[in-house]
Amino acid sequence: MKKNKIKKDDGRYLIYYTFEENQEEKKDKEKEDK
Amino acid sequence: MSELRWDPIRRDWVITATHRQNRTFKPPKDYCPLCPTEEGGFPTEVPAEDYDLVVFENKFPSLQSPPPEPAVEGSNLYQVDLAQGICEVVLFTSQHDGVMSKEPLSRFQKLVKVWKDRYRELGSKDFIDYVYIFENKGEEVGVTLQHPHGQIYAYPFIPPIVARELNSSRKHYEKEGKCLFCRVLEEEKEDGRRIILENDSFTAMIPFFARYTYEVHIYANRHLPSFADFTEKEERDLAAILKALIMKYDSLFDFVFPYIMAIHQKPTDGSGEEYSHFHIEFYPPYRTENKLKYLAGSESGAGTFINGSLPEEKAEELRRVSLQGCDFK
Repeated sequence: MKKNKIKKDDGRYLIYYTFEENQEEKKDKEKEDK
Repeated sequence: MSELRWDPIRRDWVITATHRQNRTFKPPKDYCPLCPTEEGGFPTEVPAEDYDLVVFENKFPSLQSPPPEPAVEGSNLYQVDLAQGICEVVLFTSQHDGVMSKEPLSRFQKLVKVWKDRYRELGSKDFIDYVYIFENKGEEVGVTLQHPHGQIYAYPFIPPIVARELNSSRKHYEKEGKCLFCRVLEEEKEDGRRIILENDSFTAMIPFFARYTYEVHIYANRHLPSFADFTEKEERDLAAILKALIMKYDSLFDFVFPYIMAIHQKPTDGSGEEYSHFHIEFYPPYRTENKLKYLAGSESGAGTFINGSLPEEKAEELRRVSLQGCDFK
């Protein structure tokens, strides 16, 4: 999981969370797609 | 202006937050502040053309850091304190019309990771005693923005419902040497009639003392005080049981089921390790397909809920709702 914290124009913070799909999540996704 | 006002009769804090009266109220779809900002479009809260999950400080917070000056002075009887804390909004998906029960398991896994991260980060601040993660879902519970999202209130005190739970559990622990929630779970598993879903790490059940017709509690199977103690498997298992429960809710009457979701866990003031037990409570307002439960005289004025149904029968009803092959184990 990666976090990118930025400051908005009005001073409030915002955090973008991004994720890399791991092997287990790929298997879960394949199971769901079936 | 906002402040904490102490009620000396009920012995709890009330937050006044007058700036919240004009917060965004049911904007049309092309004016959603929680959607990504389209190129050339009006700016939303999220200055990106797409996102996975986002957390930001609420524009209309009930608690702030640094806190504003109180609007009134207190007295010996009527204490006033600063409304210091942090209020965040958690965006579950960038899709305005997203329906969580139709999202893949991975979305719930990501959400659990984000919640864990927020609990740890907000809880590490010395002025925060309790990190309350919750979701208001559906117009029926007063939701003002449709886009799938939840909130976090990081309070400078332990809020009263949680404090009362923990007080009960602490007394039980002092007397019996065991967490009260662990004991409740033991009794529910032995009985079985109110269990809806189980996996290795969590159990979803309608509690014996349910106040709402379809109220569900999800308990950690082991004595697990908070998100900070979760293993990776527990993260995955919570995501799976959450998705399964929400699928059941949405399939029950074939509409997206509104609810309030409240996550209860260990305070972040250093207390409660032995008697705090991670659990999630769902309060859906529908008591039948087309009738809502209102908090009327007995509930609001006397604090005594009246449930017009039997938890055992409603649990059976929810168990029978098909998960269409979803694997929650």
